[in-house]
Amino acid sequence: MTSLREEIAAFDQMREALEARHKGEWVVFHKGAFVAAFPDFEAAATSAVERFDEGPYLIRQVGAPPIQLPGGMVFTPAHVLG
Amino acid sequence: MSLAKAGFKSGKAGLSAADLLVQFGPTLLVDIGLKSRGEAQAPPDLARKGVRALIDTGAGGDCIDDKLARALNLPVTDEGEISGVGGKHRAFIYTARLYIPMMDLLLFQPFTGVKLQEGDQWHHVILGRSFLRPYRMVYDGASGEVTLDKADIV
Repeated sequence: MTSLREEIAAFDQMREALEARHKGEWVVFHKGAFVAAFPDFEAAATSAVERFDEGPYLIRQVGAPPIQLPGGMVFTPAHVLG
Repeated sequence: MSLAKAGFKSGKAGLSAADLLVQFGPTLLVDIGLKSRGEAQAPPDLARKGVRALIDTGAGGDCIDDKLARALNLPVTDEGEISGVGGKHRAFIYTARLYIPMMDLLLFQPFTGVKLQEGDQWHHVILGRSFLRPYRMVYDGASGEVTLDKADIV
């Protein structure tokens, strides 16, 4: 299974700056580095798949809350877990 | 004229269309993959076709069966933890192309990986409220019909 450890660590390091400049946008990280910010998931995924194919890369919405799943389950991104 | 129908037209095995809707819920047949293998002008040709997708207004985001996501080599594009009545476990977000032939709709979606096959679920994809955001859905429990229409985005 692919690990996104490098990408998530890079996101965490930049989180303050990302929240200041790109709140609500979708960001892409590859090989532990910030690539770009996009207005929506479609644009972020289109660019990431075209450039990095099957990855690994991180695509995440800056400042997004946990995702509510069926049956009352919740998905919490790694950066929120701390 | 609706954009798509996600209910049941007729009954089966002694069950009415309304009974089937109760049993299975609103369902769309979707194609899933990462890249279309078809020509640019042709309809998208994704790796897995006719996957049953449940429209679930109780879910915020979309889900895909973990085994299906791995079989399709979908990229893991985020990770975290699922918590709920079954406790907590590590989970992944996969990025996939979703094509709905009935709606001629092709889009990238983030899908949380969940164990639908292991849980003997009839559906292998769940489409939540984020998918429904641009649509008006009418659920008619009495007839078994469910329709999706394009709504003006506010």
